[in-house]
Amino acid sequence: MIKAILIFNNHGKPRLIRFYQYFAEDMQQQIIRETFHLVSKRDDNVCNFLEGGSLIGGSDYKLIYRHYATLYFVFCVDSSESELGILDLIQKMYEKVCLSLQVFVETLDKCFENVCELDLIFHMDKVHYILQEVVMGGMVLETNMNEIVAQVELQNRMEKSEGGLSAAPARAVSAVKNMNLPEIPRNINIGDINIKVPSLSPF
Amino acid sequence: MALKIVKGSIDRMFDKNLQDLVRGIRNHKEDEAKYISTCIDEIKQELKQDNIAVKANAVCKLTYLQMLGYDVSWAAFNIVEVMSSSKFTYKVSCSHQPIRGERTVDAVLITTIINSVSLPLVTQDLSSPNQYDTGVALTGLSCFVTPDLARDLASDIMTLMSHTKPYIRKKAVLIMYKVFLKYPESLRPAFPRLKEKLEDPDPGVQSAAVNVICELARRNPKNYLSLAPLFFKLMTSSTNNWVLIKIIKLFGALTPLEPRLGKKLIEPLTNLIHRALDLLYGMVSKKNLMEIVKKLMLHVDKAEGTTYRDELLTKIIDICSQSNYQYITNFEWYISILVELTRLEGTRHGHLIASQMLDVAIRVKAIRVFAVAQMATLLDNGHLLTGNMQRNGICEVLYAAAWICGEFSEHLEDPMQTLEAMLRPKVATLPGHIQAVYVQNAAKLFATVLRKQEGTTDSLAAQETSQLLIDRLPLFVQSANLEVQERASCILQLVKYIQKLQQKEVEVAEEVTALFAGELNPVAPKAQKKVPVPDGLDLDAWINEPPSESESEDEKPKAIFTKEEPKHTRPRHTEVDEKELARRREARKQEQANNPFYIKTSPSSQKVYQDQPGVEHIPVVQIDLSVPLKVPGMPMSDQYLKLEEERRQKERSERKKKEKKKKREKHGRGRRADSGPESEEDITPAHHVDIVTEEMPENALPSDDDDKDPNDPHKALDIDLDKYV
Repeated sequence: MIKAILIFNNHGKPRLIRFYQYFAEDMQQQIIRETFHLVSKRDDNVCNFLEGGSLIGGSDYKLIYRHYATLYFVFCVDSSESELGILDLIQKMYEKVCLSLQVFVETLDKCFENVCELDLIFHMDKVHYILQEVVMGGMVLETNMNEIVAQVELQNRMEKSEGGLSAAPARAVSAVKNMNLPEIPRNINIGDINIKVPSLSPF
Repeated sequence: MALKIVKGSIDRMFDKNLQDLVRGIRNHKEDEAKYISTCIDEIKQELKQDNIAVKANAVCKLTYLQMLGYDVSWAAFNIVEVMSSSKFTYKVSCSHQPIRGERTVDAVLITTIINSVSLPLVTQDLSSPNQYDTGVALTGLSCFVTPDLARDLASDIMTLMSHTKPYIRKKAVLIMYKVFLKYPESLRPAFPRLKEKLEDPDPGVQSAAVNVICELARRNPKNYLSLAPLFFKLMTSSTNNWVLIKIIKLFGALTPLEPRLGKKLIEPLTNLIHRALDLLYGMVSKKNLMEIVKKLMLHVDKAEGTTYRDELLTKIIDICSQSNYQYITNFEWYISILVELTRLEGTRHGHLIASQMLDVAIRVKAIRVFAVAQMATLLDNGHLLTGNMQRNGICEVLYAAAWICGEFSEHLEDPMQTLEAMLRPKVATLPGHIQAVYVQNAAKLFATVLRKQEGTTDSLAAQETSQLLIDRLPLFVQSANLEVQERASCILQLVKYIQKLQQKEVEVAEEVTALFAGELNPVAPKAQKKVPVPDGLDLDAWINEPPSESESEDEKPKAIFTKEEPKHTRPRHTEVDEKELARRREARKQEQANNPFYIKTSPSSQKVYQDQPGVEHIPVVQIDLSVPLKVPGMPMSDQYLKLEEERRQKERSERKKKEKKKKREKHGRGRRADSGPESEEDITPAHHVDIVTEEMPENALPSDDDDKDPNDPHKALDIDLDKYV
């Protein structure tokens, strides 16, 4: 059983966390800190499997991690999972996450050549999406990545079709935000209607 | 009223969504806490709105904040509310929110809320025609399922396990595990269904079922023993690696309870292990060879079945010797590995180890000194190995040991001792072919010993040596094995002759050494084929006249007894004979000159030995070999690993220093030189390895055509297709 999936960067800041066992927030943060501590000390050419640490699940757990550029992908599993299998899963998941983030990001008319940590930060919900299709309730749901991608695509399409008209303003707004507007008038006066524009914090 | 709504929606346009939140936080690095509290206030505002989209957005942001460590349990109700929305989009955003309260008051409140609110919602979703709604509901459920929820929803989820869509079935099966945890009574009714899922046509559903049952069984193995046959069938038929892994782990938990299971498992497990071992063959490299072999040796020690051990042994040797020992950097280490392998009991691959020892000792000149020392120790302790008498048993190693000591006797530290070890009476209990080698190599050793002893002015020692041989050899002369007999009697006569010469104070060492002069090099497998046909020899010509038809049919029986026939044919024979004989003689001489293993006849090859059972030489102590023996003098191969590590470290640091120096000279400032992982070419072997290449006859033409079968149909297909494109 998978106890937790953690993605954090080289400084220990969490980028995506998913616990399959209940922990209070401060426990969660402590676990993240401890895991980062254990994993960041490791050299790049040593084994990807770690034992030790006592916070999650007592003694029966190990950490399986992979380090990609600035991100650490860590799975905390117990002894019922195969280390190599999980390692393989991490690899496949990473590839698919990168791919889908790239696709997603391209649809917003931005061009990114490589998916970087920033994309993960800003589109955390997308990554959650994908993760949900891979692991559910602590157990591996699907290992065939093509299946997963297909499911995610379908759900994406559903979302878009549901969006319809009501999502139009939201989409418009995000497009606007991505533009560089020199100035927005503070008060829009259209006859009797007085709309006060709240000050936008600099993005 | 309408205006209010419009105003509201325009206001909402400027709500931050998730991206904005993240961006905002990143831009407020100094006052992050303050900024976040502002954001939380905004979120609380948003949650009070009626608009579901707004609330969903707020929940999304809450997820992010929770990741940063902020407590969001106060929003539990709102999250549930959003989940109730009919829009799929919003549901997804909160399906990964674990809703729980830490404080007891909150816990009670939230649980009640969840139970009362979620139940109808989730039920509705679960029966939704849209599979994704159901899917999302199930995922969400896995996060916040409570005992009450579990009790109420168990039957619904069980129905879902037989849904038409495999996607739903998969999720339903997995969530049953959580349901079982919260509401154990649901296990009994659900179990038959779960069992059915093990044979579901969809592989995803099947692996989900395996997953769940394995998890359950790990905690309570004895309840699941009855499923063992089913799992066994799955294991042998499944190709999905995840499923296999889970099942094997499950069997690991079950086997302690049912020993018969263990026996039955041996066969498929060994197949798997074979597959893994085969993989090893391909993945070996210079760097990791020593580590891999060390691990394998550990396995060999721990292994219980002799067949498995033998497998490992063969594998180790295969890996090490592939591609002409390409991956071995330290042959001393390899020889010590081979010697360690000799301590294995009951192996059937003694000859393999023996041939490896021979191969290495012959072809790697640099290692001969070390190898000879090891072999000498082996011979000294030969009585330990003589316990195992079967053909191809470990005593084959003595064959190699004796030959190596004899052939490279000049490297021996104490040839006299080895000579004595070779001639112990216990040797006579070894298999015949080994004894023969012993005897022959004893002779070679004798030559070396004589040379050493005659160099000094101590002629008595030399005579004593001869006497020793004369004393010991008669036991071998009486051996039942023909080869041993022949060799022993030849050598015995020779020694007797030498002794006579020695008594007349004649230097014999030189001549005796000359008997064994010359290097015996390995011969290439194609060498025989490549012997060039000498000019004038026509291999297709008849050697004898073919028998004429009439003679062969009627008068064959008479031909033996009548006198005319022999007279008739003999002159023909003699004519043919003369020329052919000459040619044949030529050919034979050439062959013999090229064949290094042809023993050239020596003038006086008679040696006589006498054997005396010396009581002091027979070891009295019988050592119980169930405990692996640490024979003094035999090196442990682990020390080579350490040596190797140290050596590579040294090389690496030296190279770093050189690079640093260069870089500093170039750039004038210190830079951290990152040498990176060593490439294969950087690893210099510990010894200079001069692998002796195989011998070929003179004027041999290099050709690869010999390998191809002349009847190969594909040869006919080898046409130039460009013409037909």
